[in-house]
Amino acid sequence: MPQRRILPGLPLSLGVTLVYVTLIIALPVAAVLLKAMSLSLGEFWNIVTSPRALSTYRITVLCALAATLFNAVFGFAFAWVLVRYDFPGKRLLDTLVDVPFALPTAVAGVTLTALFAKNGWFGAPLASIGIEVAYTPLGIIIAMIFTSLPFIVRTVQPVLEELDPEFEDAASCLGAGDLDTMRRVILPLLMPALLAGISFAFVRCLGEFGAIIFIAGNQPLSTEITSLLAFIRVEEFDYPGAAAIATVMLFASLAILILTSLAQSWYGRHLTRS
Amino acid sequence: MTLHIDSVSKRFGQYQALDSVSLDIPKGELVALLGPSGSGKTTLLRIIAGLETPDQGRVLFDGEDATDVAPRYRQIGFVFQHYALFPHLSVFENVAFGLRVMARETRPSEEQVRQRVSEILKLVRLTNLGERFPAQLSGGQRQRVALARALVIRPRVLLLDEPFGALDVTVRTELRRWLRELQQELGLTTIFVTHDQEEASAICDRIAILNEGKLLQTGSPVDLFTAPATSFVAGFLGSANILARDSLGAGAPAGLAGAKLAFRPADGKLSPSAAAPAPGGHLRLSGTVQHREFLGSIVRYAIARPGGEVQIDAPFKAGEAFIAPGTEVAVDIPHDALISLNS
Ligand SMILES: Nc1ncnc2c1ncn2[C@@H]1O[C@H](COP(=O)(O)OP(=O)(O)OP(=O)(O)O)[C@@H](O)[C@H]1O
Ligand SMILES: [Mg+2]
Repeated sequence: MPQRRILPGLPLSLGVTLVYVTLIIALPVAAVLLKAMSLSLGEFWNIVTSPRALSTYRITVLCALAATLFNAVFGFAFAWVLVRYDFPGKRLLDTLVDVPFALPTAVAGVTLTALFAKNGWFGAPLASIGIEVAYTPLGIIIAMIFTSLPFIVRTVQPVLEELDPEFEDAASCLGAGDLDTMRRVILPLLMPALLAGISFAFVRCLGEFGAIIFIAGNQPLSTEITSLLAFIRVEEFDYPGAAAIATVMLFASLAILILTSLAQSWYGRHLTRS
Repeated sequence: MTLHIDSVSKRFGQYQALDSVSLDIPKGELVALLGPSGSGKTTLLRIIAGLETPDQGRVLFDGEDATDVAPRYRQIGFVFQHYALFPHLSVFENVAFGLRVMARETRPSEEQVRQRVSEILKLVRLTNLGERFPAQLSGGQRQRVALARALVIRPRVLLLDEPFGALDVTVRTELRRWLRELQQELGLTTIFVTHDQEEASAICDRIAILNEGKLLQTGSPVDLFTAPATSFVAGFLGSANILARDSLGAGAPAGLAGAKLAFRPADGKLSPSAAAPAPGGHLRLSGTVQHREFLGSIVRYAIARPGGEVQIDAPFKAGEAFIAPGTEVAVDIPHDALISLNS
């Protein structure tokens, strides 16, 4: 008697998936690593710790942190409003969240630059109170905020929708005010989703290129981001140099994703549903 | 604390969930709120707790209008239908929650929190489970954690929404007894929601019957059982045979005024239809045995008659023959077992 398959078409779909993962993800990653390995350890070290490279890490990580922090708060509030309130135009707003996903990042970059340039709609009033955005780290942060917002909203939103309002009712019957309910009940319950959203957003900020380079000014040692430096090395036909920098970015992103997933599983242990 | 519910109404869109419900509960009384699914039981509890605002009517605690007081200031213990234990907190922290969120001036110290939570955990017999998380507990244990959490704030009123709904019969019976003892010991004014009439009769001082948002009748279990006002109440509390008065002709006793009469299955006595005329002071119905169920201590007969079927429970005596289906029988009901119903 032939053995019954649990999932029809499993071998086919598994095969397709594996081929896809190999071709689209694993191979390019391996190519980057191989390219980087054509350098000696000393050369590699010199490239990835050069003052210019170090400055790009600093600016990228600090701006990404700032943007992610902003989005953690704002994206959470955004998701909250979308889930908990009814108002005209809610559907439209819900659709707008995905614009940064859909928009080519270069378009976003050009638009943001136009808006925040000294004579732009936002840039002019800001300049009049002494705040410059375009061609400063602030511009980088704004571009990062723009492209990474959907990650937080879209990870928190479905979990919030599933959150039983009775938890909040129980908390308020026990005497908790809004702040205590948020801090002691809602946030902890949403933490796994929020953590995932924060880490996706952060990784996205680290790797963002198109939206940033238009608005950043790209001055080495002050407003140059890491992915741009890798791009410049490619332009100079210095492929191993580009690959070395790319390797650093790759491992940074992987490390963050792994840490997040560890944190989540540690956190999720007690949350197994009754 | 005494609780007054004063003609409370609530609509959800087109649906009238509560229709001018009034109920007074003296201090320390346990009232069972009994009604079928969707009758508005949970809605009424939520209004008392302040989680829902009534469209009309007021809720008074000790005579003070609390209709506009926020839930967190009402000091009401609410045990939710599905417990709503915080899944990310241990049993200890779930119970301690109500103490940790107190205003700074009144908040007990860590030492006092520990002591009070331990006391309550002992009271609900969960002393050793403080470190567990809700997902690691049985249904009955969760139930007791939910109760402990509600009790720790020294509630003025305790509201229990079908607390034993998800438990099996043995655990239910044990827990309800224990709950009743605890409630009396603490002297807590309590509303206990259930749709199980046996459970309601077993533990409460009074039963309030709710149907389609209307409070039909309140009274002690014995009162409601012996003198239900309507056929709904008669049928909901124990089983009842309902007879339309018109269908009885001249046989209906003159003393009972209601449009309908009811009697309990155990109050009808079966005899072969050919036998002597009805004894004095009895109402006689005649019909044919349709169906028979042996239920241990009783035998339940379904008797078909022109005005509709009636059920008769006859005590079972070993050695006595059953009446076969198809047999013509007479049912004699003593007049004092007849209940007059308004509708
Ligand atoms: N928030 C709400 N929005 C709309 N309708 C509601 C809402 N809450 C309750 N209802 C409706 O009001 C009616 C009464 O609901 P309620 O939950 O009070 O019933 P219940 O007696 O507790 O029933 P059960 O025994 O099934 O728990 C139901 O028909 C329900 O659909
Ligand atoms: Mg209910």
